[in-house]
Amino acid sequence: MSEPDLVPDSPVDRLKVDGGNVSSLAETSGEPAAAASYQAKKKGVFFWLAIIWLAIILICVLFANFLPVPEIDERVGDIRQGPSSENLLGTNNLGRSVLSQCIYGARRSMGVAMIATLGGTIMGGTIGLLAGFYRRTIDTVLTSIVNIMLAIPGLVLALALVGFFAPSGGFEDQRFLFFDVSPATNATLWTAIALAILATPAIARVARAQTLVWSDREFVLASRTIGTRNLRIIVRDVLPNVLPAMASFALIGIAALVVVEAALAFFGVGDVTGASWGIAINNGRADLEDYPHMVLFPSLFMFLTILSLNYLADKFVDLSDIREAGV
Amino acid sequence: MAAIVILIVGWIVGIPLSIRLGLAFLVIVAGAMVTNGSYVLKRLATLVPTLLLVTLFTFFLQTKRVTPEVVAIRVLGTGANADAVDKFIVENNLDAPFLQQYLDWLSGAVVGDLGTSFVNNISVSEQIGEAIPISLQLMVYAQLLALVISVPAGVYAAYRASRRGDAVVSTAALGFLSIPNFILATFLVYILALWLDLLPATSYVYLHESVIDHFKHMLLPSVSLAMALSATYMRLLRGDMVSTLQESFITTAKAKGVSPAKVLWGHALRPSSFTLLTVFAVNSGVLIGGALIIEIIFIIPGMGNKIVAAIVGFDFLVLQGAVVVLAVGFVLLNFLIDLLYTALDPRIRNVRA
Amino acid sequence: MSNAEPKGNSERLLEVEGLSTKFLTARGTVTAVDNVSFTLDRGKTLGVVGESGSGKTVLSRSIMNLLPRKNVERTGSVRFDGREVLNLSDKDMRHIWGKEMAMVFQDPMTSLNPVMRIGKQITESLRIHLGVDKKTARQEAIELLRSVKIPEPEKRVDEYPHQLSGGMRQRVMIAVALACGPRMLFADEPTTALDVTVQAQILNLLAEQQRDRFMAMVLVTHDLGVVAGRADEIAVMYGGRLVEKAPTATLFRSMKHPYTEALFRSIPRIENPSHTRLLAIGGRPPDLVNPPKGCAFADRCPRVQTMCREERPKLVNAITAGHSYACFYPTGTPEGDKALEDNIVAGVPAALEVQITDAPSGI
Repeated sequence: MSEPDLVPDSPVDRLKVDGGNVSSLAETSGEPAAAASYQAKKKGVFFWLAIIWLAIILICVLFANFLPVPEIDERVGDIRQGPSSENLLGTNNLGRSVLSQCIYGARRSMGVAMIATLGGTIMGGTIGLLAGFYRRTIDTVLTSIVNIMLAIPGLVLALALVGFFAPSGGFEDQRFLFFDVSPATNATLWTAIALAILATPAIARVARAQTLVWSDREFVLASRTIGTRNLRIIVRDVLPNVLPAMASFALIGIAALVVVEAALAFFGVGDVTGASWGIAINNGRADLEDYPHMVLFPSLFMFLTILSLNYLADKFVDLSDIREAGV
Repeated sequence: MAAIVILIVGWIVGIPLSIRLGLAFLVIVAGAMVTNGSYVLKRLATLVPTLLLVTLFTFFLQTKRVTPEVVAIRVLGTGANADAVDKFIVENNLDAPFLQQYLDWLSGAVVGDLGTSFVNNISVSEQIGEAIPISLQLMVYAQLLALVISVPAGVYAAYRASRRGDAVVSTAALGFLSIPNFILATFLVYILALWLDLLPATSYVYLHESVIDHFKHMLLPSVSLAMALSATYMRLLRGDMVSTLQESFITTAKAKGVSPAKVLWGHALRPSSFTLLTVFAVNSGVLIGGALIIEIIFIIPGMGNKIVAAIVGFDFLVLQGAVVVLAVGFVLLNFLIDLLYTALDPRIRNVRA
Repeated sequence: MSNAEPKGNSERLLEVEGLSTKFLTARGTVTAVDNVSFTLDRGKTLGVVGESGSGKTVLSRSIMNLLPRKNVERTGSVRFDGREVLNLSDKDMRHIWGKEMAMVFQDPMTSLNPVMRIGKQITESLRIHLGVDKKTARQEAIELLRSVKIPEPEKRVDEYPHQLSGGMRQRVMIAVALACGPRMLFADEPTTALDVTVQAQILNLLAEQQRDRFMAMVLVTHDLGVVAGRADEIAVMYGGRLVEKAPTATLFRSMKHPYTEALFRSIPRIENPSHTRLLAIGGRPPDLVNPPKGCAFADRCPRVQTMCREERPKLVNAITAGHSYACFYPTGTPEGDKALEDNIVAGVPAALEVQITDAPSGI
């Protein structure tokens, strides 16, 4: 990512590493390496701002019902009111609080994205580890599957998958695995599953590339020579080293899936009755000209969340010196 | 290069797009065959199974999604009587086993017949043929715009690495990367179209109808797509260029008395552009069918719009056709990237030759 | 150039006076070059010898002004052809780089642009400095390739670096450096990355070109053997400082500094019986962030005495003209011999090493 990676401490050491060549387009490698890497290790204000914002969002996801805001479907005043002291962010086309839409929307948007990313990381990670570790036939087969999924544009695949999985409509409770859930919840859960499948190939690629690098290292060969079982090598030696890159990628994954989840609302696929950022934005678009606040605030929530996730993913790479091999 | 000439000349002369694309591709492949036959054949051989599996996969997702009755009712309307539904199912062969339906479709597809939509009775090839040029235009505009923004920005940021100029550019890039394109589109429409009334908010005008109106209508969609793209490209280019600038051949150039601008653009840019090129090419494929939301928001009758309409309307032959075209495009693009690499990096050229 | 009429001694091309280069890092200030002075006449060769980290590479880059500007502090004076160049901006240096001073780098694999044709890399400086048109430049490039003895130059000029062998690439690198006929050439470990069989060819080529073009050359190397027959004068660097400087013949006849001696012992020699043990220099180069108070070589020196650790020896002149060294107990003097004997008795490891290897060969 940035130049501080892998640069030793003093410029003299660096001369040796570079084979005696100091990079010297003067303005380019402005400071000696040591100072640069020193700076990169600092976390900084934005790091903590991002953490705080994501913590707030996480609280919304987990405890939306307990927060002192109006219920999601409660009519709090006239429709399409701008921000006021009573309704901080105004009301929407049904006279509901936009703030509540944003907070409850976080639950749905982030919840789906996080569950999907977790699922995608488990599936993609497994595929990537197996393909990268065993190589040969297993690699060929798994890589082909991944490539096929990547050959279809992401959103098209998402639409097809959600359309396939998510049951449409109905008012009675439906079965989701072993539980009876409302149609909306059922559709949402299946959306998460569809998005998990969507996320799988990209994560599998990262995991495979990293596994290829790490499983060639001496300590893995050492484990092999003393007869350690493959599964144990994968879990004990390879996985811990592959994990940082995957974690960083998972942050970006959540950010990307938040967008996809919102996009689905634009197409009216999946559940469109509840509250999500995408639904709120899409509903507000009709009144954009006269009441922009209905679009602005959910957009702001989304933007800040995605920005925080992207920023943290960047920082994570800087702090842990990951080189994204072959991503 | 000859391929591009064919594309442009064909466009002017008015040859149908599918023929133009086919010809252009044949020229490129023929050129590659001359220099490196076995490699090209090997790559082409992987195309066939990929396409089979992609189509099988989408066909499965579509047909297994709902019962034929649901499709029939959706197409015919909720008031349709049972006889009409039955007739529709039999006519469209919807009750046949899945594999047989797929093979029926496939046997047509291999000879170029992608079927006829049972929703509006228009041939699928015709529908896609109309939509693709529009999506291609949008893709080309967005990509050009993204390059025009990202390349200078990336070069500048790498030149000022870890200084203020870099910080400003990199932070802006992170910001644009974090704005979903539909949100950007929504606000661009609000400010430039609704509020300032400078540009049209929606719809599409053909290039041959009015060049000025065409670009007026395409500006906002292109910008909406280009901003996040340019942020991605800028970050890739900056990263690669920062490491290129550490290379000793840069010092050599400097010691020759080459000016910083020439070092950056003449010496460092080309060896730093490989990752950018890959992602650029992959995006070209994705954007043709992947600009779904933008096409919906701006009501542009391109591939994205066709795909969404097909998914929502159970028009799965159209979806199937669109996915095939996109998948072929994707695989061919990957193939072209490899050929382009060899043009940019002489080291690869000679390994293969 | 404004200096059509060079000031001062017209024989003098380069005068370096009290040059120091410091890197400001997070760990502290690194003094990579410490108070170095020397002069170089037109057409002459100076060999700069030292191990990795001795500051010899930074020295040549400091003189050529090729180091980054930020967090690098250079003091002293560098006069090139009578003109002070130490504080020139990059913009002004660009008229000197390539045209007046040029550099051949260590690793020809990485110091040529992999995606640019050889011809273009050679002609680039011609086009910049002399405004030569494309066609003439190409002819010049072919001539240059021929002069550095590359076979089939008409064909090679259109090839890329990876199509050539390491030795050929270094020849190209030399052609790049020579393109504008510079008066001063820095060769920074020009043969280190090359195969042994090619090293001599490259060094001979450099010497030949230098003679033909009447260039002055600074030949930087870690190998005393490389400069032995090729330099007019040799400067030995250790820990960023000059520790000994003398005309080549004088140096080999009567070297004074124990570090020079140690470098000398580490050269394999043909006249020695096979299996003669080579003396490696024990220990590590000094820490440049916290340099020792006394002599930088003290920790590794077979003659080290209390005084060496307390006080820093200055460069003093020897009896022979042009020979100077920085040591309190130099080789070949009664004090020096006594110090070595005392250390052998006291069991100083570095001294014992010298005793063991000295015994059979009997220097």
